[in-house]
Amino acid sequence: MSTPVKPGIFSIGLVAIAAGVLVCLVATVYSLNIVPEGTGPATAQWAAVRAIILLVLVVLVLLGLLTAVLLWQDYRQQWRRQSAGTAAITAALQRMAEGDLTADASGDTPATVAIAAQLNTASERQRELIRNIRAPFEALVSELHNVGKSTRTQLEGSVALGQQLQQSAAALARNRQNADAAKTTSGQVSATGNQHRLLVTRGQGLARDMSRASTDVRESVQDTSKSAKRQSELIQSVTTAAEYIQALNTKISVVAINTRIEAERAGEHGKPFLGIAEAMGDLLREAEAEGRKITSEVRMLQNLSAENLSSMETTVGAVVTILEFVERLDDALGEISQGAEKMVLQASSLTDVTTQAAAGADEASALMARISEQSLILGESSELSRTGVVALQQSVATLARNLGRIRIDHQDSSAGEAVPAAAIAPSSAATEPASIEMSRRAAP
Amino acid sequence: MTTALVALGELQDHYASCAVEPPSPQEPEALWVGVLLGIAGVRLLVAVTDLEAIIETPVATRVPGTRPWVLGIAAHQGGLLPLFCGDGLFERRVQGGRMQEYCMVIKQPGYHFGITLSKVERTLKLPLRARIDDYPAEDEFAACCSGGFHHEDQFLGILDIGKLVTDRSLSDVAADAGQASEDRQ
Repeated sequence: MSTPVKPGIFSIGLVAIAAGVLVCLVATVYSLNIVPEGTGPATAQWAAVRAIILLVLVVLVLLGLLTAVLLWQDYRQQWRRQSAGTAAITAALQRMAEGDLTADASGDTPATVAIAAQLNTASERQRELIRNIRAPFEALVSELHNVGKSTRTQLEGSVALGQQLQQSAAALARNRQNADAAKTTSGQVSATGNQHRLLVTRGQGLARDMSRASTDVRESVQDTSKSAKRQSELIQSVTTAAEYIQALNTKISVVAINTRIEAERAGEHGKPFLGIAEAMGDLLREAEAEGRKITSEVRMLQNLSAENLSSMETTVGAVVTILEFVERLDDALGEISQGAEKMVLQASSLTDVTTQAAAGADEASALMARISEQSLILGESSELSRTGVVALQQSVATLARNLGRIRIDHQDSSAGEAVPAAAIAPSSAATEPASIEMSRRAAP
Repeated sequence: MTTALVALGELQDHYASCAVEPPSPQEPEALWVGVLLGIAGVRLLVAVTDLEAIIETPVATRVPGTRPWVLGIAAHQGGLLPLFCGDGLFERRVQGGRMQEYCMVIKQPGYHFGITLSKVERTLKLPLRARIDDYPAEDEFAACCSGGFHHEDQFLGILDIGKLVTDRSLSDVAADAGQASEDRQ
């Protein structure tokens, strides 16, 4: 673009040209000696010509000055309009440079009008482009947010899976220990069952021996009971005899008393009878004492015999009960033996089952270890994904902030940002809870 | 010689100081002789001189119109013997159950009867000085007992036959003895 000529210089040039022309004309006149000398008409004419020339020169100078002033004013107006359009375009460009695509450029001069139109067209195209970018960008932000949430959920799931795998591995280890313990216990149970079977067999033998012994005891007690009954009968006979002796003693006592009475009544003549009565009384006292003793002892013996008889009957009853118990014991021992045999079989099957369970637990532990490794890899991948998503969200946030500076709508200065505010802030995945981070580190 | 006499003298002194004196004959102690028997289950003593005999209870014939403790009239040594029940006489209860086997025959001037005994034990000779004149218990036998003895940790009352026969109940054994006396009045 060419720089416009300054109006002052242009006017000075015009005046200088006119003055030069006049000076040249005067010089030409004087160089040709056209100027008359002395006084005369020619001189007067010359003076008139010279005055006219001077007048023309003055008029020319005045015209030049007027023209210069008019040109200067016109130049000043053009220059002002050009400067205003340039300033508007410059302002529009500055606003565009600042991101305000709503700035409209305008110009007064054709050049500036063309430039402003081009600028407006360009800004309109940019706004259109940004509008076209906005929907995919929002979709990108939304999807990125979803991906962030999904990544966070995946990471939490991975951490939980790791913890569950740890717990499962611990449970499998415990199951393995329990299976080993159950195997050991079943072996012990089997051995104990065999031992119980032997003991039960011995117990059955002992029960048979006890049954025989009880039968013998019962027969013996029954024989003894018969003897005791016979003894009781004899004791009864002895008691009867003792009572008879006691009655005899009483009779003898009566005789002795009567003898003494008669002797007392007979006086001196009855002294021999008195001696007899006293002797009878002495004998009677001894006999009574012995008789009472015998009677007491016989009664004691009778009581003892009755108690023995009762005891023997009780013993017989007890022996019968023992025999019944022995039979029940024998049956119970047989059932216990069968139960022990079943228990041994069940212990054997339990051993097989626990062996299979231990093998299954080992396989499950191996699978669990592999799953743990894969879970670890998955966790690392999730962490990488999370880190990438966070970085991507930060980039998108930066981009959103940068795009948010560009205004494409006239109405709202704040809502006219190109990207929604939700997309500006980084996703919550960027601010992941420390617990998740810690859990992720603790995961296998 | 002298030595032998001295030794004999010392020996005599020694035996005189160490020897036990010979027992002096004791005075014969006065003894009370009686029979220990039981009447109505109570052990009593009866003086031998008060008894005529102790016999087995004879079969008695009931006498109507007499008191319940009058068992009847029995034959004894060719005579008739009124027979009283000891339980009924002293405890005023009618004898029941087993027949008492023995009875004592008492013969006093104007009285000859028999009283059944619940038990006949033996004769006893007790020192007379140990006799206790007061009968300590107040029971049915208190009125007809005269003292007693302590024997085998038990007080045995002495049945005084004299008091017994002076009892009016033995004098009139009619069942309506009390009413009869009132009617007589």
